[in-house]
Amino acid sequence: MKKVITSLAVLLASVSLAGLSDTATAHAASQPSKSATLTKSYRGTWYVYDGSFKEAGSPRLYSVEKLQFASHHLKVTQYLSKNSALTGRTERLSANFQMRYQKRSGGYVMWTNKQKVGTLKRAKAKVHGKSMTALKVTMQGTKLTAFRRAVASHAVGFYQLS
Amino acid sequence: MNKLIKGCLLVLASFSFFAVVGTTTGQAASKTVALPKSYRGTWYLYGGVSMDSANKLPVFTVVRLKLQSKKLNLGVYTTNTPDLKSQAWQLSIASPVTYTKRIKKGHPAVYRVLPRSMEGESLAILGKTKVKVKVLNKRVKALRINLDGDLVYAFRRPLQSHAMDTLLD
Repeated sequence: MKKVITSLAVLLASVSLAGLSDTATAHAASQPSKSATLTKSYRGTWYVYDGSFKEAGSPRLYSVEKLQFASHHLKVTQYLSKNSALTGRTERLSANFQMRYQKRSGGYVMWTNKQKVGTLKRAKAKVHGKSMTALKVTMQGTKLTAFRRAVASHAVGFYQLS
Repeated sequence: MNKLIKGCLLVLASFSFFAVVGTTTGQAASKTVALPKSYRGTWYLYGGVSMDSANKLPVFTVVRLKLQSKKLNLGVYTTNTPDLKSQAWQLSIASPVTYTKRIKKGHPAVYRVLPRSMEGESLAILGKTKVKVKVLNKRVKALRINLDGDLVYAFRRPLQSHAMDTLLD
């Protein structure tokens, strides 16, 4: 969560609140010129693996973020698991943002408050030797690879906030 | 307002790379308590007003803080009217939390909010108080939230008072 939520935090800090205009058209206002609905193959739940860490005296912990893409928002939830299969997750934090999508070159561009946030593109990635459908996400410059299932592969790392 | 959201997100999102799982950290661990009913539920913080350059309308920000027995929910809403009605949702942050009680001699009890993502560190200290609200011209019950030294006040209903953005500049 760290990577996705922190990059969203940085994004929000730079977004002028004036971009959120008139309540009646609040949704319309934050749309790019032509907003599209995500197709079934893009929307829904994807998982991004952060990585694992271990402290002396406690078991190794694996962090995974669940990304839920919906027509008007994106929800990111961070979980911790005690095993590399990423089962038995405990929730730690979740953030829900307004998001709009625009079709662009085989994928989508994500918009929040009239600003481009990142891009989405379906691809295939190899996990433990097997090819799996993946979603290549760029979020504020950070590249992430998400899968339909939670797998401990393609770790994106953690943000160390000073 | 952006600074507040950023602050909340950064605070909630930051945890030491070397996390301690399910155990207590350094300082003497206070026992987890249930948050009293008078603290639970929805509180409203006023985020301040800014001008929307596009259609020259003022944008008022309201933060809905929902304190539940095991969860904390922060929702940011905006509206164009000073009565703070017809709020449009902008974003939400949720976190599982635990509460501890702190009693200092001669002071009323206060509660610490510990989000699960903060590894035993407290996000804020909550206390009950009464503050004078200019728009109503009377004293109103408020929740005093101490964020690492910065005080913000929340009310049981949206009030255009005690804006948070002034604290953050």
